[in-house]
Amino acid sequence: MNSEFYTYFQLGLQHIADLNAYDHILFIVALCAIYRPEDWKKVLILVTAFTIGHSLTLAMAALDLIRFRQELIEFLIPVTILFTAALNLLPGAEKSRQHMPLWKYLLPLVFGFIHGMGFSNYFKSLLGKEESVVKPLFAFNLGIEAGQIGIVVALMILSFLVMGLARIKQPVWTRLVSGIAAVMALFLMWETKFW
Amino acid sequence: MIEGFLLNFILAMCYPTLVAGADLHDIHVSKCEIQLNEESSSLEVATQIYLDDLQSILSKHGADNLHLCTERESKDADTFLKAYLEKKLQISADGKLLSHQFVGKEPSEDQIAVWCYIELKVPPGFASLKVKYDVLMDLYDDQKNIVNIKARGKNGFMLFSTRHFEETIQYK
Repeated sequence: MNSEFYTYFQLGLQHIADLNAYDHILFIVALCAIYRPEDWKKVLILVTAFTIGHSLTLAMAALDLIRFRQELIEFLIPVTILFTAALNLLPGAEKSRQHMPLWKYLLPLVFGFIHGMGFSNYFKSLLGKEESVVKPLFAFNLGIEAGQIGIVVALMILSFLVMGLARIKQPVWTRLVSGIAAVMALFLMWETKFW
Repeated sequence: MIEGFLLNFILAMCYPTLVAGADLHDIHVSKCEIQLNEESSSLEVATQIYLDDLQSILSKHGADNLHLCTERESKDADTFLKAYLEKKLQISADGKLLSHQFVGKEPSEDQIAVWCYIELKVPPGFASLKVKYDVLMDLYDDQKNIVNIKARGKNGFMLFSTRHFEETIQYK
């Protein structure tokens, strides 16, 4: 038997790692593809901004403060992935990656809002009849954050290995990863188109 | 050259995921709350299951067109539901399986799930409870079930999956 906190933390963690919900993994990959291990502080802030974004809308939906069309959200999620991946592919993106204007941090926050709405039906169903929402919600989001950081670390290790072994330079690797993310996002948009 | 090779390789790896993309956001979680009522010496259970999943699994067990929680609900709906729950929610006290008393059901507020209420008489002096809760695990590999059990001042949670769906709790 475990505590409520640990149970919901674990659920958040497993939800991120779940390959059936790979749109989330894909967003994190697109968000981080352009950065190198030495940029870890920036990456941590970006990922956290994303978590704060989706925690907010998830909480609001769980508390029934906002409602929205689920099919629209499901379509918008791959749009955020495509947009993020496309930014990495812009000419000069690689060179200016160290330059961090505010919008670069606001973008994952705003995109986080959209992803949070995608979670909310999931989360609502986890709540019991009378318990408080706040604690499980907090634990669930913390689990998601932990899972996301795990994905970043795995991606960094993978890129380090591939670049070392296959002698691919970072700009090529960035384009390769971002290109794949963009293609998969397009595929998801096709699948979730609601008109 | 190597770039092209890698691209093909990675795309090939992604392919099964792409095909599985239709499952986007499908959620496979059920929640079960168990509370000991000391006065009546019974366990009061409220369990929440997604309606569409429940219909799918019941029709696999031969119960088609139950139309659960609608005006057209079949007369046999509760019988099938009860039989399924008896298989999938099993609670034993000190090794002895407790029998279900199906109290009723109601749709959730958003109408996408159903709450089922069950009562199980339990011997007052029990020392341990074993809970098995594996609803819908016969339908989905990634089904997760949360069990919250409150008894004798203990409030505990269990997260069950297809690899781990029963646990014993000691109360002595």
